[in-house]
Amino acid sequence: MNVEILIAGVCTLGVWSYLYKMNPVFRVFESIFIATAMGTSFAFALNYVITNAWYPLSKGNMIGLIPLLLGAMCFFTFVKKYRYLYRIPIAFCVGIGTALGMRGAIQVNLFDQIRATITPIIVSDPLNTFNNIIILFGFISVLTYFIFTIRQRTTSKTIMTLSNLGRYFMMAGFGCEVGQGFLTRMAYFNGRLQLLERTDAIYLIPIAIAIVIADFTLVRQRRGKASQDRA
Amino acid sequence: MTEKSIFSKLDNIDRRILWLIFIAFCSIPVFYPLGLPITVTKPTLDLVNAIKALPDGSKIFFEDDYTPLGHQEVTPECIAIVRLLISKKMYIVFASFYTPEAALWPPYIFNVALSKEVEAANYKYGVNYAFLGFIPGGDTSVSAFCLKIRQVANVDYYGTPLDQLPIMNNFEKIQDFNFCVTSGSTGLAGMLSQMQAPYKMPMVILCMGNDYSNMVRYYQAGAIKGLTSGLRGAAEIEMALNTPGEGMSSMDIVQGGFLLLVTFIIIGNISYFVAKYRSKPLQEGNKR
Repeated sequence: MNVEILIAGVCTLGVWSYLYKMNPVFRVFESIFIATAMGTSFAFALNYVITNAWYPLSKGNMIGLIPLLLGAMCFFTFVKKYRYLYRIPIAFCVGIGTALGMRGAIQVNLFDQIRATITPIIVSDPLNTFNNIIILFGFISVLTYFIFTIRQRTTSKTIMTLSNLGRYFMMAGFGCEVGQGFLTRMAYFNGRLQLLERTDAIYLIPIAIAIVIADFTLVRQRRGKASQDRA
Repeated sequence: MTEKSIFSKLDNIDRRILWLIFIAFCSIPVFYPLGLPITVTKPTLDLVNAIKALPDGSKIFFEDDYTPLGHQEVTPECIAIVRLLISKKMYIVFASFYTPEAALWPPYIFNVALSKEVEAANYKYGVNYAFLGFIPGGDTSVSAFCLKIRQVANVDYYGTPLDQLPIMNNFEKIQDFNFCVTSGSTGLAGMLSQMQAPYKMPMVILCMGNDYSNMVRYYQAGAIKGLTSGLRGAAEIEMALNTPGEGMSSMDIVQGGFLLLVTFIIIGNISYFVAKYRSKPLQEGNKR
């Protein structure tokens, strides 16, 4: 019997116990999950600082001193007198981030998208033609929905209809996202289910069921007693 | 005491009963595979064909950025693609820029999931493939990495200096690679804006299910050569390559669960509208 698999099984059932009701076991495993994730991230980040800044610095390469100092300045946020100093590294990061973001994001998020929208409507494949018509109508109607400079209710019926159509297009888009999101959750669920049912962790399922039944019975008995006392 | 109709009972059903039905229903394919059909979509087919079209021995930069949460979805996709890359004797360099835990996946794929294939292909660490691990900094790191790899990475995942890895002698900057595979969730937009757009790097994306609708516009705009998402994407890749794996074996559970959910939604909506229809005339004062 693999101990690691059993621990993974216990953790899975512990988190799933929330489906029955909120309970201390769930809270414990929730905290363990968050703490493990934070601990791993911290260990990786620390390891990177040591290998890429501290070691070169100890060998006389002074370039590592700049990011180390900037990083250390972030901690001034805890010292009231020198709090203004933490703004320097933040400004540095925001400045670089914005500049870098502007460089490529405009190309992929604006120019490429505009180019992809301007396509011939009728093509040889009828399905693609249908798609292009949907893109055209979707684009115009969603754009109309976001025209805030004209009061839509006082303008023509056509603009109102287009605006409503745009809303439906957006709703369809959001619906697709929700569906995809559910598919993602199903994949997570699938992994856990396979762990529980295709490995040694399967022996944990009857134990979990027994605990749930015992709790359910106890709660019912307590409720019965309480109502009898009240009567 | 008014007698409750079946619809109002359905409207107020205990959610725990629904969870129980859901778990029981999804457990069926674990023991008895249903063999529900899977079709390969065009973005996935384009992804596979783009990699297949590369000459043997091409140099691939593989960026993986997903947390343990995405492991169940994205790792099967990565495994299917790495299997193809190995079969074509390609040189692969892994790195992650946005998620620290992502550095764990490449060693898992090579040392655990595909250990037999790696051994059969006589793939050697440091010669045919390398793991650069997590390089923090997000967009800034990607940009610096593209200009000069050793600016941001001096050692690999195991702490070995890059100069001691023969494979890394071929790489100074991003243009030294022929192709890029990006996987995960957090770093997709950054990779597109910092690597694909400025350097016109041919790229494919293996994303998580909930990122697909965001990413499909980049595929339609031609920014990426191919796209696939989640466990279904893994199944599609395996189907296209005729190499059954974790993706195909898991699709029954995913599709079965999805079908059940759709059934719940339909029943829930019917009961809601019927309850609404029945209560409306009473509210208006018309006795039925």
